Amino acid sequence: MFETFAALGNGFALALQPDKLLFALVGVFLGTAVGVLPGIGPALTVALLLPITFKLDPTGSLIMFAGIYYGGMYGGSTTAILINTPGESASMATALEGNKMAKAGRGGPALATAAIGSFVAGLIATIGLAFLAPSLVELAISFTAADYFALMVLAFVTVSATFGASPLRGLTSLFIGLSLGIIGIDKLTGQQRLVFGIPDLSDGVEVTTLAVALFAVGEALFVASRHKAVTEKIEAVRGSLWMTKEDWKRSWKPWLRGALLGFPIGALPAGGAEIPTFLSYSLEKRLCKKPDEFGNGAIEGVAGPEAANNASAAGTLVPLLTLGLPTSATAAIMLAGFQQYGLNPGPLLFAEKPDLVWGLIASLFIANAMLLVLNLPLVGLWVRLLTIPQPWLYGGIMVFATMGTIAAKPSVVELGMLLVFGGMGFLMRRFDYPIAPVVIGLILGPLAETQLRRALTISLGDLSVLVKSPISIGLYVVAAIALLAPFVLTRLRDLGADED
Amino acid sequence: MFEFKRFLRTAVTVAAVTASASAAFAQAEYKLMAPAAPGGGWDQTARSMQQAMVASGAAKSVQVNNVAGAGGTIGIAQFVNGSKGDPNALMVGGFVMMGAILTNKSPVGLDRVTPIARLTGEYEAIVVPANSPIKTAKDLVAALKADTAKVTWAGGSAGGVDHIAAGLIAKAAGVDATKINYVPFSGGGEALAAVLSGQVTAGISGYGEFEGQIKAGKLRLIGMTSAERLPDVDGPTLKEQGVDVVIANWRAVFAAPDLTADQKKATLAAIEKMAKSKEWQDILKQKGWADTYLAGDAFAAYLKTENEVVSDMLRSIGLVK
Amino acid sequence: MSELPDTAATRPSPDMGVLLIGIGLIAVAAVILWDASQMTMAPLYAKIGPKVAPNAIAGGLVLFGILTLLGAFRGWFPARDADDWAGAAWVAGGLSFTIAAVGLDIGFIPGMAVLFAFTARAMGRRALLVDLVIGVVIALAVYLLFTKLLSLSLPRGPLERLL
Repeated sequence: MFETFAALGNGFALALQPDKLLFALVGVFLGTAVGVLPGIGPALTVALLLPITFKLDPTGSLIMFAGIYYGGMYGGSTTAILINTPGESASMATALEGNKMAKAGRGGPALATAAIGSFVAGLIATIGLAFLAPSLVELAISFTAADYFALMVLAFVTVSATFGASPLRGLTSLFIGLSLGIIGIDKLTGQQRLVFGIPDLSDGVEVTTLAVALFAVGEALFVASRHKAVTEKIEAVRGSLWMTKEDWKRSWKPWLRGALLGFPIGALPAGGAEIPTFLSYSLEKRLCKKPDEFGNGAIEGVAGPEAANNASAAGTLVPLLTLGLPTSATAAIMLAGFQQYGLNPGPLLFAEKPDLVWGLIASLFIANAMLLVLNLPLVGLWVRLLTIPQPWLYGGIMVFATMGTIAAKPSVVELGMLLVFGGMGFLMRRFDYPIAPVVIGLILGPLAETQLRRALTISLGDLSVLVKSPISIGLYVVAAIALLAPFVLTRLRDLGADED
Repeated sequence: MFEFKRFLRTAVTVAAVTASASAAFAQAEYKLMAPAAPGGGWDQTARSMQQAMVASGAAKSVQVNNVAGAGGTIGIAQFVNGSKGDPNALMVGGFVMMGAILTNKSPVGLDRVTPIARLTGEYEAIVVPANSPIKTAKDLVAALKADTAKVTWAGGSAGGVDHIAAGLIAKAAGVDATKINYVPFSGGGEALAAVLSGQVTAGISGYGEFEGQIKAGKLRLIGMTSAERLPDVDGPTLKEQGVDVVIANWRAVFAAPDLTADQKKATLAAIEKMAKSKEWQDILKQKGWADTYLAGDAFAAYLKTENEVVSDMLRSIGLVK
Repeated sequence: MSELPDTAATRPSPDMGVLLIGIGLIAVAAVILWDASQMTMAPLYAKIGPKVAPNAIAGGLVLFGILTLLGAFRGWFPARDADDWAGAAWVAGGLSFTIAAVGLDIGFIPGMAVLFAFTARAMGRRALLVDLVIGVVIALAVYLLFTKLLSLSLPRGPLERLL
């Protein structure tokens, strides 16, 4: 333990020099600036900016690199909050409550809780990375396909938090998402499903395309169709620009819970950033003292998912550094980047190159702090964006949403999907269907199916494999509690009411 | 409207002429397509080429362009349609694209582009957990013969190079290749975790994916799919253990269709300059890619025989009718 | 379903929009079922193959489709006020032009400029030309930023080739 502190201290000594701090600032700035573009997720951001870091010395480039990574992860949440355009799938949960807050003139506190929550979660997760990585990775690896399936079941159970007023419409939305999830090449047999001979469809529907279409394009269509009836007046700031005491009180627990969900799930080889953000969202909704506020701009619904998102980003580094195992596209690019500096992630890394590893971890701390330094002062500027006259604001949103898609995949089919799903988003708003379950269905459906079939392939079709491990059983128990708790609680409350 | 169209056509022609004229002078400015998303093997190959071509003076500049999707078949279709006769257009491709063209029944095949050179190859490694009773390739063959279904393989996507290699091993072992219990994972990372935790019998993927774990003693390397032992790999080949399977996940560079002989020669020269440069050799070493440089007509002939092997195997796996 | 008890029996005619959604859901289910029936490769060892998930999802869609049809007659869906279809049409038209601009090599900048101006028009502005100019300026800035600084390649038309 002492050695760890000493090594980390050395790392900090290296990373805290003025010029290195500047690199961190530049990295965070670039990462945020590029990551803010919808459709350009953290993976592409890091890939695009990687060449810039090559020009520096190894320490400097590692630091800038850490800044780009955290900046890219954070960037998506700003657009999610301000213009309801999640820049990547992991900031979708943020858009749900964050944009409602922004429309109510509370964009400032929403951005602030996102930034501070990201910082707090990043801090916790980086500490976790420094001290727990070797033991956590053992657990992460022992996660079997059956365990993943159990995790998906838990995630599905909690989806109902996003259903809104009507279970029928919520479930319909979810099943539309699941249907979209079938499209593409079946992972286990390699056959095409619902591809209809269009090669662009064989990789399935891109989550960001669907999210941007449903959220941004759908909303632009909806607002355009109604601006005569209701002139929506967006006030940039109502009340305080900064977080009030009340906001702080409501935010700090979600930050911690989000970090605790995000870090371990991010460390799982197939965990990802989306599932912890959904789980955090539903958890906060359940725990919130004012559940009615959910759907109308509850700050907990921003604080939790944002913390989970950033913590999972640090979690991804656990298998990457300890096993050399890139578990996401972003991680794969980072791996390429590390190799550039002679850093070969793997089981021997901590022993062979301690100075570089601890330098990197110290850089992550510093990048994380820079994120806060850079973004908090910008909050005032960002919310002012909302004072742009509505026609130009929505014109800008449409340009913004489309150019991300064009930059990531300039194909007519992809843009066509933007239009078709945008139209779907419009109709869904008109008929009061919730949007989020569609995207969740698209993400979770294929994951659940693949893991289930993988588990059964390995067990030669023996279903008992699904409840064999303690992890699976534990997850099913939690899922059962999550499913039944609301009914039980209502019963108890009713009982209590009777006695009064 | 008609006027506008003519304006467009003129403008396009002018732009094209300007571009080709300038190319004839100094070193060319290449547009290099990586038919995959950032992060994957082709993207890394393309970005490494970009680095080495500029540093070695083989090109003035190289712009990498990602066109992701469907195992590269979207990329190649766009490449063939969009850069016919363009001497500065290049595309990275390889083994996986060859398979994807067959399984996706892509209308545009590798016969439509101009083969330039094979650049790198990654040999497949077959690994088992360190505590597995399987110690050699012979043990693996015995296990396959005893019960093909019980031997579970973890590797990359269905119909990809890992899957094909597993099929070839089964075939060489004398068991029915259609009966192998192959479990596809997305990306090497997940497959590696499945092998480490002992969920599956064996893992099959590029050596680089497993290297760290093999060196740390957590995985046992029981065979490589190279013809001879590799200098950087401490382990036997399958071939020397009597399992005659040699297969590599090769990556290559292609040029646009309909090039003149001179244009083709110029591109060949530029790529050769890069492939022989110190910068490129350094990158190969760093990434653990084998130098399998094979250019021009010899490469074109190689493509033909390789295509036979791939379509045979995909047919026996059932992915190609 | 929580919305069962309602005042709806009093409504004289079915909600046509909702009716169409119900029919649409069942139609989508039919397509999924047909597609699943076309798949030839059975799983070798797992009992659950590539057809199971599509069939289950299609089953759910049929169920919800029928319930939606029922809802159309019973008035389970909230009333909607009249739409200004022209507004939505401007936005959709702008996006359609952008798609054409990418597909027909008209270029990134014209595509983006028209999208911006049309969307602004949809929201009630009446200065299409001014907005087109603003759109060109924004698109040009974005184009230069993406292609020069980030070396991303964007669709190029005659205008972009001059840059």
